Amino acid sequence: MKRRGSFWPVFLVVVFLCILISAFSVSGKLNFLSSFLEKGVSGVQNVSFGVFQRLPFVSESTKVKKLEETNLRLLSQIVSVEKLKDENTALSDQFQTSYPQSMQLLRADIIGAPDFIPGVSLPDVFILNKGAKDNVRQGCAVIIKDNLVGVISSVSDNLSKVNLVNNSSVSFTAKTQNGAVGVIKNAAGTLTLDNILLSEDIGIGGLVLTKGDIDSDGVGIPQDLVVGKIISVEKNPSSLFQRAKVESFVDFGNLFTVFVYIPNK
Amino acid sequence: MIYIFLILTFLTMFVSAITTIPFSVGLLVATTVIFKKSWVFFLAFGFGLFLDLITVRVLGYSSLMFTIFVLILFLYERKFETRNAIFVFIASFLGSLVYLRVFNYQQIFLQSLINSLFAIIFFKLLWLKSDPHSETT
Repeated sequence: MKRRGSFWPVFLVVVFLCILISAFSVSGKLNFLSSFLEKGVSGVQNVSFGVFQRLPFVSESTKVKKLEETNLRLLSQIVSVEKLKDENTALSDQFQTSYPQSMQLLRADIIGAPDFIPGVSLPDVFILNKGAKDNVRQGCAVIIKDNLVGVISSVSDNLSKVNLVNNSSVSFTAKTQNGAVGVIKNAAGTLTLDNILLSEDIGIGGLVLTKGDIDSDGVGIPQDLVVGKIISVEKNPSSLFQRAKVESFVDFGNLFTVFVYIPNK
Repeated sequence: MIYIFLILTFLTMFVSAITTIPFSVGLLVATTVIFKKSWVFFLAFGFGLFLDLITVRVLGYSSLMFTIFVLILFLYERKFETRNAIFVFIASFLGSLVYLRVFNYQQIFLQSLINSLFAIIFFKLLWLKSDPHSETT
């Protein structure tokens, strides 16, 4: 039997390379190389994601898509009307534009949805083709129309990772249309508005909006973005709080483009 | 055979951008048992680097994991026969399971199972091209 050469030297060389790259990557000394490589890799991702989204069993029919878009537009109009009503009753000095101005929105293409298996699981992470070079920062909100899509969880020079609202690691304060405040989180795979006082009146079908969570640098989630609608309410008199299951209006499986709410320079 | 190998490598990288199923683990197992050459370590390194880049992770983590995984396959191969579909299935299932668990992905059993089935297809394809008169078990 032919004796094969030992693989230990090659193994040790590769392990040494891995450790070296990890160490440099953690310390940030490899940014120039990763930035260069990301450009090529994002091209591959862009093509594969584009091809994948156009597969007949993945993408929905144009009619359904159009209806969904109309639905989103109408819902954003409802929110606008509600907001106008509130603002008219408020004093003029309290008036403020809460919707993200287009100057603060950065268009980004989705080039990857690693956790997405069509028919099996929904995506809970997106990879975007914009990064730190485009002023995207960790914690920035990602939206589509007036709907919150997710929050930027990590950023490299040219790419960024978005944890979607249905991701278990995403949690933020939200309110219902009638002002009941709670915390949005993913409880056992379901988007839930939790920690709402028992005295608050919340009903099925009501809209859930973001309460606003912007830090001193202008990074975060702006207020009055649509998170979704309430589909069920769990109210137990012996509990401290009540909770509601929320369903997002955004069809995450069919998104191609989103907007990142970037801080003012 | 090299063409088949290159096509499989390209497809694996192409598909890795849209799913978390670690097809690269399956291809690594098939390549290790068929070629039994130390350049597979460099392939593991490349796959790991690619996966770290597309998932915006710290570079080198996946490479390190894949390299150690290939080492385990080599050590096992010294003592036992590995050129069979059962070994490929079990090795890719366990490899995927560990990879998906370490990087905290969901539905790890289903993904590992799918990956193992694809690993057998990779193995059969490479085997047929390397020795078309042989029969795999």
